[in-house]
Amino acid sequence: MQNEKRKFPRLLCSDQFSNSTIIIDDVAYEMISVNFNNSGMAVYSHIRLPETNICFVSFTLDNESPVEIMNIPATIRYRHEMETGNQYGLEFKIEEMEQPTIAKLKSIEEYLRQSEDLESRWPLP
Amino acid sequence: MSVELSELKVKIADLKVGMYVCRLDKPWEETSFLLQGFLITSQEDIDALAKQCRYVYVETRTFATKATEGERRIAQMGLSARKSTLDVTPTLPPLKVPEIPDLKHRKSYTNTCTVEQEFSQARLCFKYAKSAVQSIIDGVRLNRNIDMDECREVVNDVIDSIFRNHNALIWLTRIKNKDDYTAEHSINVCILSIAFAKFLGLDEKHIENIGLCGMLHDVGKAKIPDEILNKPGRFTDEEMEIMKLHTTFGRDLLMSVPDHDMNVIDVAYCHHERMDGNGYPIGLEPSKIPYYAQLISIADAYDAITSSRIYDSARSSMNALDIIYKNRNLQFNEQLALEFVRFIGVYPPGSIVEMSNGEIGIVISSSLEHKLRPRVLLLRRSDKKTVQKTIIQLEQRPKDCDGNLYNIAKEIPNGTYGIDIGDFLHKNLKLDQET
Repeated sequence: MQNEKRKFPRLLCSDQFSNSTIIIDDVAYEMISVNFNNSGMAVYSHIRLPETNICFVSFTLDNESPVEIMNIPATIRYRHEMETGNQYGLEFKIEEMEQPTIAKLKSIEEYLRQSEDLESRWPLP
Repeated sequence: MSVELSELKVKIADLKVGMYVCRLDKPWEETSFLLQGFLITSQEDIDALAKQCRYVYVETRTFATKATEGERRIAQMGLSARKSTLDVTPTLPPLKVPEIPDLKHRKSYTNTCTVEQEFSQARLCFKYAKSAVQSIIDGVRLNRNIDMDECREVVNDVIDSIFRNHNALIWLTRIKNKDDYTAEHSINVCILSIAFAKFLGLDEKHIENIGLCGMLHDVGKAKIPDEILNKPGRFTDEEMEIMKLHTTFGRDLLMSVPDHDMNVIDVAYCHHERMDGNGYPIGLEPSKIPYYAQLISIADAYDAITSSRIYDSARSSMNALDIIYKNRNLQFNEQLALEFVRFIGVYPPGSIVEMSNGEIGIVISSSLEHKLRPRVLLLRRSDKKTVQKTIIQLEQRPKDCDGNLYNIAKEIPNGTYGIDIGDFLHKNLKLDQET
């Protein structure tokens, strides 16, 4: 069993977080956004992504002041392809981004952190 | 709603990728096909058929509309209610879909012993169950029939352990061995499904049946060639299509068992169906996915995500629950997905955790009422040096030697500071001290 290895754990993508569009070689793949921090995220789908590790990611956070992230460069660092579905870990290429985009990523993380329920990571009825 | 299976005679020229060939115009033995029934996955399959046959029979399904409530419930119980040309007569009547009461009103089972008392029996049970599943897989490869009585015996042993204290076997599901993936995964899904069904307050006959479904859900993988099943690398698209055939192989294998159980067949066939209709092998709509398959699919995904395969590494329990939560109502039944997240909780037994004062421990057990404050066996001091084994019960809000309240800061990877949950159990450390 491998547990959380990241220095900065990812936060669950809330219902306000859209699906992510991953573009690889000009083909778009819609994936479920699973968890996130300002340096990367996990996505999941029943479809498999091509083996290429370079991709571009788009998603939005639909809160009171929506934040839109469009086609930021990322590297696929981790793949777990199973019969049940496929999970991919993306690392954003921060060094290739403009400051406003980095600020947007940080604001999304901050929103998720503030809206997280401390008693339960997963909102349960 | 009723689902009917039938065979349709099709000329080779009319065959398409995605059709399931169940019969040829000649005995299978007179052809080069190794499998007696297969899914057409490419034009090459059609070309191969064209060389040896003039026509074949493909499987078709008919769904009647305007279902009554009674019919809807029967359909939800799955294909066990179907009329089939495969001449299968259920030996057991299909069970009714269990109602899941809300948390406050559901049947509650009380543990009859502590996790420490259950550990040694749970280890024996796990070892026996895993070897029994491996023996079933080996037997299938030698064309032996599955012994359902033996399977039920294994499941009943697992149920007995889980009813005494479920935390012990749940802990054992966290020790993963890449080499025995299929057998280990099958028994893990059996354990998780039984413990989940117990948590849902289902009655014992449902729990036993769910356990059997969990144990045999992947039995069709015994028919997948070893070089694909154990491939040390990414599957090609074609290999992935072959892997997906394990659902059909499983159904066929289980149908050939003399005292077969229709719910078990349903689960083997339908545990990769999804609520959004994007599953396989059929792409059933939600109301037609057997209820037990909906339940087993969650335990199956949880164990798959938290397991290492030959070609990749596992993710944490937290990550698996993130995926299950985010896929509620897409891949998984929403109510069952939320209940499963509640059942596993934040720190499942076997989690290695760092306390807020820097001490390190392993979660021994947790209760529904105190998911954030489980029982923890401390193994390292804050300077990470070995400490005399001490169990703290966080729900009693104990304080550390500096007078500060004990809290869990975070879960840490297995292997950190030399703590490995597998080694820990192999060394047979006794959990015998409490504060």
